[in-house]
Amino acid sequence: MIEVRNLTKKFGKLIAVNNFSLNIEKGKVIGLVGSNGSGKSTLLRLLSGVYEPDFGDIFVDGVRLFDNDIAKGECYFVPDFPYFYNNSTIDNTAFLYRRLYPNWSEESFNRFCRIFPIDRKAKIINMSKGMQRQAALILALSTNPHYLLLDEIFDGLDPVVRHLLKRILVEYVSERNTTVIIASHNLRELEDLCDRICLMHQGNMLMEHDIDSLRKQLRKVQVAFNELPLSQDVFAGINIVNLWRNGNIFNITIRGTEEEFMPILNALNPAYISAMPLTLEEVFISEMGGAGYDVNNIL
Amino acid sequence: MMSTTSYKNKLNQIISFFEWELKACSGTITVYSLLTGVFITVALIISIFVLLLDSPEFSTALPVTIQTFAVASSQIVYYMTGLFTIIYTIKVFTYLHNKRKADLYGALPISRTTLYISKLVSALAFSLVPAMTFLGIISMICVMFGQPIVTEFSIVYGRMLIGTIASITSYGVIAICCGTSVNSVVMFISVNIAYPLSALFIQGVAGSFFVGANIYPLSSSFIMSALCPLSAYSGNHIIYWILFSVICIASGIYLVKKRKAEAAQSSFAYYLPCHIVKVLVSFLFGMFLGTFIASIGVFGGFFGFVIGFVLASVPSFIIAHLIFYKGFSQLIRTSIPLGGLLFVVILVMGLISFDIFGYNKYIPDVDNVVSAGYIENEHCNYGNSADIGKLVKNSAKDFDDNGAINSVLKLHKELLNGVQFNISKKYQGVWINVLKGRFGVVDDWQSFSYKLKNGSVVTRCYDNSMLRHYQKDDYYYNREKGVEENFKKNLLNTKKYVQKYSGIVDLTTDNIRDFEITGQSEYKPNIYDDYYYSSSDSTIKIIRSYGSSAYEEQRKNFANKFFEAYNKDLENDSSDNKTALSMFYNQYNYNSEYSYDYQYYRDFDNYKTYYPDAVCQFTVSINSNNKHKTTGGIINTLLSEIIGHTNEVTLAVPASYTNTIALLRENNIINSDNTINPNTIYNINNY
Repeated sequence: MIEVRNLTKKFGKLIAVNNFSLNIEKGKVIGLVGSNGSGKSTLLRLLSGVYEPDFGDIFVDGVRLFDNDIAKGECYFVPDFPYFYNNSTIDNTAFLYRRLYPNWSEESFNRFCRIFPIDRKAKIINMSKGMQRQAALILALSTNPHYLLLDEIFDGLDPVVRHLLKRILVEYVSERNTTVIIASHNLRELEDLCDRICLMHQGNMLMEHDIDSLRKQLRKVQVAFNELPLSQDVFAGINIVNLWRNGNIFNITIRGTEEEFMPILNALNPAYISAMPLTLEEVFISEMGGAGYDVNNIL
Repeated sequence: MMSTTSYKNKLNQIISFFEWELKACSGTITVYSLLTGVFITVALIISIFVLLLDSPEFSTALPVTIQTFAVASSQIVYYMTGLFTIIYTIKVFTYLHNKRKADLYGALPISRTTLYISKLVSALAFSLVPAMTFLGIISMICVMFGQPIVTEFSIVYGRMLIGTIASITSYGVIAICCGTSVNSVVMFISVNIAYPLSALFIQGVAGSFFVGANIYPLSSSFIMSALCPLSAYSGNHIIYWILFSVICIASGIYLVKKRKAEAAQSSFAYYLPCHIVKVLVSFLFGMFLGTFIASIGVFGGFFGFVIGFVLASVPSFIIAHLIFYKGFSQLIRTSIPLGGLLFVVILVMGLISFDIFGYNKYIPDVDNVVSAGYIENEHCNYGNSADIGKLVKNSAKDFDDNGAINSVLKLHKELLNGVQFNISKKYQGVWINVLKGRFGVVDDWQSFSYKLKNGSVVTRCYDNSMLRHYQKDDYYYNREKGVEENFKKNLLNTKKYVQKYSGIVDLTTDNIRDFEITGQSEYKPNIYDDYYYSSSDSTIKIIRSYGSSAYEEQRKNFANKFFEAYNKDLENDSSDNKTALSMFYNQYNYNSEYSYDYQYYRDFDNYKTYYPDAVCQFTVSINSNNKHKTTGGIINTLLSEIIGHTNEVTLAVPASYTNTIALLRENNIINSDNTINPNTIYNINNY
């Protein structure tokens, strides 16, 4: 289990992660989403022991993580731009990792080298961005980490490899009870993969939820009226996250179940009403809008 | 879960990293090995080829050829290693200066300390192991040719070892403090240049503004190059450089643990070294321009210095800031050290320019002096390891009789009356001292020391070149008559002084450069002889510094016995023997109007007319191990190599020195009529 307690990281005057707390259980896949510069990558660097927190602590299985090689041996971090030396090949990088990571598996290494279509003796630096990602993934998965931290891992991967990776990760988690934390802007991919989503903005955590309950909690509702209700407080009693009006048609994002808000809306005699769950992207836009980060505000 | 790693695991981690780094640096190591191997092979081929061309002399030329090869090829290894050490070291520590590398290394399951140590070990091993291997091969070649390993060659091992360790460990600390490799390299170069030059300026100011201060210990002190690890390659101050390296390793380990990984690709992780380098650079340029303007007399000297210092130090501070920070950010906030520097330098230079403390003109009052002493280094032999400061301080107890104290005070006063401490001249003197320090030029000195009634000791140690710089033009014409004569009579021409400070004290044959005995010739010139008016002296040279002579061991044994006998006779002599000591006495006249006497006394024939009981005289030239050397000085080294530094002492042997005369007769150096026997086996001229 990873426990993050009141974590704060500052870069000069900029607060990249602000008083962030989170408990991540084993065997879960967590998606870290948020606006650009929200602190996702910084959080991953803190979780992997690259950065030292200014305040707060991170514990991995009860052990403080920073500069602790044993705790770090249970984690593997694939950054958004993995670094390889000019003469690095998968084989010669494995030479070091084999001796550093306690859970290194030769079997996994050979297996993933077969699965991902990469020449293990070729110089990684000469490969395409996607191939470099795959090389990083082969090495990452071969270390059999208990905690796998992936930053923008789907970037540069073709749809087939993306699909392959998702399958491998799902298998991996179910077989080994590995915890995977993925920071990504690709919400569509996260939607298929994650158990939980953590939404960040300006270093703060806006919300953290099971993806299913998140979907259940928010509804996209379209309501049309022949005649507009006269009351100013027409939607009183409904937890509205976002509202957009076009004439007599209202597009509303509502937090709550249909059982809770449908009776109230039906009581307003709408000409048309429909409710459906939000995609993760819509949840993201909606929640970010609530935090003042939407297109209208930016423009 | 365990929370600590065992030492065995840490060692495994270090080995793993080392092997990985070795793979990463294998290309560079190959280039180094190939180039060095080729150069050494070429050196060997040329040596052998030259040797074969010189075939008639093959057996005699072989040792020299192989020794030349060993020294030349060790120099090749030395410089190649120096060059490649720079490359390895920069490469190895780039993990601190690249964000993507910081991600890679920061996330690896290895502690920062272990990682840093493994990087340090890698850099040291990549530099030293190939170099030591090549030196080993060169040694084997020498042994194969039946030649011993020469000292110059062996020294290269030690110099390379200590220089490499000091340079790499210090670069490691700088690399931790800097955010980029460019800053690290610029800072390393800056500190290696700016520090020793700044130290030279401080030494120059001390020597020029405090004319009687004994700055010689500073010249050869480690302080002059304390923050310049490249000077560790000179092989001096080994204990300091070992300590320095240990401190660098310890501080590197401490700092790397605390270092923020996000500092990669920013200007600095720790700002203190940056402030130090900026201040050093500003100080150096400020001193350079300030001293230059002041020494040409602009605004009376001091104000010229202030203008020059500000004009150079402020822009150089800004330029250094622009280089390190890649712009003007934080310029104002980080300018406090510059303000401090300007304040301190202007205040200190102001105080010393106007001699506020009266240091240069101070002579104790005669009523306060309990005892006094004087040393002129030119005729002394007090060993290489002597602490000059202590020697000068201890000399304050030498003479407690009023005559001697008055003589010392009067001579001191006369010396100060003859100089003028003009401010512009003080700044000119800085250049003299800086250049002397830079090139290792040494000069003779004389010291005055006084023990006062309150128990304190006052010492003044004057560098003769500085005295000449400040000397008034009419110094020799306006000197008080009799001062020097009294001084010699009461002090220099005494048995006590000769026994304590002359070159024959603690003399060993190892530091004798030349030793000769002069006396009356067997040949008696007559009035019809063309050479009648020339000297009838005869000199036999017993030891000479160049080449080897026949009966080398016998000569040295004789010399030892001679000085033993002479010292014994001197000890037994109850008075300040005029015949024996006047020769020593008169050596002090050569720089004055008595120079004629000096020439006159040097001629034994003439000397005998003044002191008829003189049997012979001897002159011993001592290697200059008693001169203050500024270590590694170019000129000093060259002078020592070419002409050598010598101190010369001449004393006479009176008839009453029976032990000495018996020895001379026993060894057939003098005949029974006290004439010199030129045919003795000890006379080098016969061989």
